[in-house]
Amino acid sequence: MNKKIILVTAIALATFVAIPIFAQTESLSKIIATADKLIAQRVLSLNNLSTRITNAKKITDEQKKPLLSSIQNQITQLNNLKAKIDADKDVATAKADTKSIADSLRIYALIMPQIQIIGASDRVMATAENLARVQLKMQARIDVLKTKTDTTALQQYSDDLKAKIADANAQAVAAITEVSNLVPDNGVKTVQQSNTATLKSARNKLKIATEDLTAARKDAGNILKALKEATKKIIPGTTKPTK
Amino acid sequence: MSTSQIIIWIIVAILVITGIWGLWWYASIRDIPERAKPIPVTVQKKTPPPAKPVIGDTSDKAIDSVLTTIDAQIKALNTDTAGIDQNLK
Repeated sequence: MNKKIILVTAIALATFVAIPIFAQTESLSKIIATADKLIAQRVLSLNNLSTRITNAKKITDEQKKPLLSSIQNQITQLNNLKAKIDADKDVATAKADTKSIADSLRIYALIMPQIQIIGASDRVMATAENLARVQLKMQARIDVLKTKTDTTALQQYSDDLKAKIADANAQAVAAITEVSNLVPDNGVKTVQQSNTATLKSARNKLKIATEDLTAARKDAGNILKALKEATKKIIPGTTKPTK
Repeated sequence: MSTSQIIIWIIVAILVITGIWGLWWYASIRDIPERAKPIPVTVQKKTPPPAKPVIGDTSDKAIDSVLTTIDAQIKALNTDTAGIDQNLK
């Protein structure tokens, strides 16, 4: 009887000791796995951004250099953090390290939108350049038509198109300037708020630039349509271009 | 006046004229050094005319082709801004 009681008590004690140890081990491995996943997502996003900035057409090499360096720096920090988390032995440290992925590095809150805004601004400028090419081509045709027909409406569209292109470019340059010098807040709330406000302001500039480009594209479509019709009237049966 | 006298007068006149010219030439290179130096010539550099923008092919087809590229760029730009909005939520 006594042996049975001793055996049951021993099993009960062993279970009470083993369960928390097992639970902690399982919890630690889960935290590490989650952290690794979060880090892998961020490294992938940063690598994509790096490629995007490398291939950007309108921003200069001087502008690219600090951005690429910043991205590389973030990737290095993430890899170092991953190595630390993988080596963590207790849940509390692993949790704290995992929290720092979001808190101190600010990949999604700052770095990514910052570089996305610069990348999008570069695209705005490249699009504006193409629209300017189209505007020049169409203006040449309007100039030829001026001696033959009334081109007042066409000229208005062309002038509007030109103004929209200029504004889109100005907005893109302003957006790049605004976000270029932002730095991680490192947990300082006022810096965080200031960064967010700046990013939103730059985003708003991009919104205006996109609206400009969309309106300019619409103008270009209207001009081309009118040019085709005017050319048909002057040279019946053809839409022969003016070279 | 005999012929020989006329010839002598001509020779004397030639010698006098040559002497005066020689003295003038010597004075010109000795006393006025500035004149021996080459006179600097300022060449007005012409400002090159501003480069004319390249217009290229103005046909409907060429314009349509660029417009197609622009449409794709604006579409990509909308995707870019959607991505930014997602991170700025």
